[in-house]
Amino acid sequence: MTPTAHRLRRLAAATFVALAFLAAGTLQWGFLTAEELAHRPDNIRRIEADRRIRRGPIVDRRGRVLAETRFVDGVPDRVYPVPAAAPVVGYQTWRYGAGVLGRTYGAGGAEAAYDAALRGDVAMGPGEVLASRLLHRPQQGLAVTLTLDAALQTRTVELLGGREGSIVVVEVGSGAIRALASSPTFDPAALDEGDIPTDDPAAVMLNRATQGLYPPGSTWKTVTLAAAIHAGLVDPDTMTSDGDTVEYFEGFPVGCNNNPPGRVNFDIAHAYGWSCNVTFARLGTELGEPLYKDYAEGFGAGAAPPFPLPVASSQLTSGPVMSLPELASAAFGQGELLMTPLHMALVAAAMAGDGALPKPALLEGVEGAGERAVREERGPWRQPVSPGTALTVRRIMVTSVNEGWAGTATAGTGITAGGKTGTAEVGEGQPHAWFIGFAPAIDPTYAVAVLVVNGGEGSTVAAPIGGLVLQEALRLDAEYRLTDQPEGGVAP
Amino acid sequence: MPAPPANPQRRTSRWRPTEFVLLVLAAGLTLSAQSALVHGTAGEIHLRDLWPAALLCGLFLVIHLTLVLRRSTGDQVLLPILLALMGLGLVLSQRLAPGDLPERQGLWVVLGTVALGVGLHTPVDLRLLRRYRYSWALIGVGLVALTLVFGRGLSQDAPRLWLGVRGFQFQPSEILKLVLVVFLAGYLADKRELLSQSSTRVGPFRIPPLPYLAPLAVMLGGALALLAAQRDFGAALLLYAIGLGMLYLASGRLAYVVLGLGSFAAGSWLLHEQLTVIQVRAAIWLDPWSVAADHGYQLVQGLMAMAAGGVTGTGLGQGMPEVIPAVHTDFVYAAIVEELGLAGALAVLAIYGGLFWRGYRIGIRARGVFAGLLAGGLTLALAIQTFIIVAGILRIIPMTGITLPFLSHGGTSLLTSLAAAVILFRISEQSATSQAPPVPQSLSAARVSVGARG
Repeated sequence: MTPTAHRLRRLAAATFVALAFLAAGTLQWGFLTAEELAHRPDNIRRIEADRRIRRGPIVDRRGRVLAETRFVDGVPDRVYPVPAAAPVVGYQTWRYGAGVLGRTYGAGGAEAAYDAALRGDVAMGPGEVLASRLLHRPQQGLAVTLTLDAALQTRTVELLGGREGSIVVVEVGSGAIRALASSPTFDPAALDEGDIPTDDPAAVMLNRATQGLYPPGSTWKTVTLAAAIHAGLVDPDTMTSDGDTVEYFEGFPVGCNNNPPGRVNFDIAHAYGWSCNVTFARLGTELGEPLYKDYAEGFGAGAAPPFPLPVASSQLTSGPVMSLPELASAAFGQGELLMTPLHMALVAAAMAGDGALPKPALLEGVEGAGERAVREERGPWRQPVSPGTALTVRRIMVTSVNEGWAGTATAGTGITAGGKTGTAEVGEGQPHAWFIGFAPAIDPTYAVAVLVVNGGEGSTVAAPIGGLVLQEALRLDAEYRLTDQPEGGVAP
Repeated sequence: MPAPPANPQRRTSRWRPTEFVLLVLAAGLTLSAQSALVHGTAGEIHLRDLWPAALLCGLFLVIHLTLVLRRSTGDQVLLPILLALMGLGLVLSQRLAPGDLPERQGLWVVLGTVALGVGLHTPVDLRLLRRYRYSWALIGVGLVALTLVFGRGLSQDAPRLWLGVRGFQFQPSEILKLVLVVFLAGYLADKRELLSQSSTRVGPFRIPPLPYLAPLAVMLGGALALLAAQRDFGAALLLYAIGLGMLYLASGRLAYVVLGLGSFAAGSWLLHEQLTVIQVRAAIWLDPWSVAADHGYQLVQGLMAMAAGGVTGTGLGQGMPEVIPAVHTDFVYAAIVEELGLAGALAVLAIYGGLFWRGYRIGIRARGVFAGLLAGGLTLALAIQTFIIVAGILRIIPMTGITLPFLSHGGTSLLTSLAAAVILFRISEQSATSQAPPVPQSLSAARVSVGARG
């Protein structure tokens, strides 16, 4: 071989050694240090990879779309056709929040709670994983069906009419949340555009149903009543003559305040229906602080119900010990009580059912999976009283509507219902208007809690809203039964 | 050209079956790359979207047929490798180049393929290349000199490396690379006896006789200085490395290479103190992370892109290589690692390895020193260029602004690489048709002797 050929051979060998170096370098950057590089803050690939995911839609129980991703020229856009559902559905946006390059992944509500399913981060078999890697299939998210009824949700927001407040509708027995409204609320689509167009972002982003804590007012008498009946203290027809009584609890005066003029002697049922404070103050103090606390905790006070969205813990009292005046006051619905509307709706559902506060459930199903996730959300949360007590209280609540101040709930609606109004004093300003109830009166299907912040009197402001909500819920049920629509959104 | 003598010892089929089989494989690769891109960007594939790749494969098949018709005995692996690389380059250009650049590149690719087809049949008399080597070299240097005056850059501050008239521009430094190889092959073929004798000693090193090394040094130095003035350091490094490599090829003295590398290191140290551009490049290379927001942005983005690929890549059209500046030219390898994955990138390196292997093989079997040097030099040029750019992307050496042959976007780069391939192919034909021991008429090894005209 010529000398040139020899040297060419050597050069060829050197070339292949150099190529081996290149291969090694490729392995280093493409494999060995890949993890570190992926987590660098100036690496927008992870965010963009998230954008490429075909995020699954969120639908209500009838299949109506609450959130879905539409692709415009290959760019994903998350749309929210039912803005009334914003407090529940939440948001999923690339702009909300500060971060490197001004873009961070932000999600709230159901978008956050069911994020894994919506992204399609579910276990696939190894063959599927290999196939989707080789074929570079985009990750496909699953459709999530919520228990919400979009039509009912829209109606509740309508009825709040822009006032600050909240409405929660729970299905009796199952605990499924059919509506959960918080007003005022945000427009999830606007979050993607830029800033929230309002002066006080906290006000619109707050979910008052789950995170707003308010004194429940006379609606809390329901708990005192259930405790007293379950403890055998009174019956529905136990008579009192509290109509013109003022009792002193260690110097703290409590009167009846709310009974119709002239009515002095009445039974417990009417004391409830007319919201006679002194009757309940006495019931509470007769039960005594330890027992009352037990019952209150049995009803979930001091805790938050398990829920996919974050929920604030309710409160019976702020300190370890309750004084007599405080106990008396809490028993008729004031004191240091603080409850979320969601919690009060569960109380109503407990009385409308078998005495158990159900776990509020949001998930109806996940396409192709999630049976276990649905089951995990369901079930009883607290069982403070027996089904028998619940039945008794229920009947009293029906009386409260038929003959008490809660009658404004059903007036003109054509439905039968049970319920209790509340007017919670808040020191300065108008009191909060409350209503909790259920319909129909016999074998109730739905329970509701209505709160209008600083709205005024419960019977004039909150109860009519509550009645209309229950009416709508029942009407929608009947409508769907008539048109024979299959229930449940996307088929599992 | 003399009629090929009867050739009983080498029974290569006139149908060039290896080439055909490999062409089919390469066509498959090109078409699947194209359809992957279409699928990755549009989400669904219509057959008509595959026309760029299909057109290229068709052209190459036609070339194959013409070679068969002419009973060519040239290397059968070169053409499929070209199809694979050009096809992939075409797909990458569609993927990465902004605006109407992909269409321009498509035009270059088609023109280049047609020119390839023509060039493979045009009788190339290597004597012409050899005889007028000084002229070629001067033309090359002259064109580069023109860029000092008339040169235009891609943007305001970019090096002004292009010459052009309306709508059509080319990069003279690419051509300089080619003519310099031709020049050196001729010069060193004539002088190689002299060069391997040593008449001067400087310390432990032996330097070739100065009267003969001088023109060599002048040509190299002139080209390098010119390019340094234009801040095209990648091309300067490339040319210098090619020169060293060919010097070794011709002289066999590793010492020359060592000396050359040493003086390069000294030179770059000196320049480092003087020129901020080099300082910046070196700083980026040593610690890109601290300047990741400005100077180091391109390199860091490239590294992050490669980290995102995994074994199978993100898929053509589904990664994010477009955040890397100049990804369609300088950093196309990063896009390959990201979208085709480790598997794809290593496969691309293997294809380049195949190209170099065939090139060196052609050089080894070439008849005549000049042909051997020419083939070796062209292969070396392609290999060094590939190494410099990929090593820069991988942070093995500092980044330079040269292109990856065939895969980077750019018309001049493509044409010069194709010209190199044409010459390699023609050399392979001539060695195949010559008998052993060779007395070829056109390549006269016997004329290499002391005192022959240079």
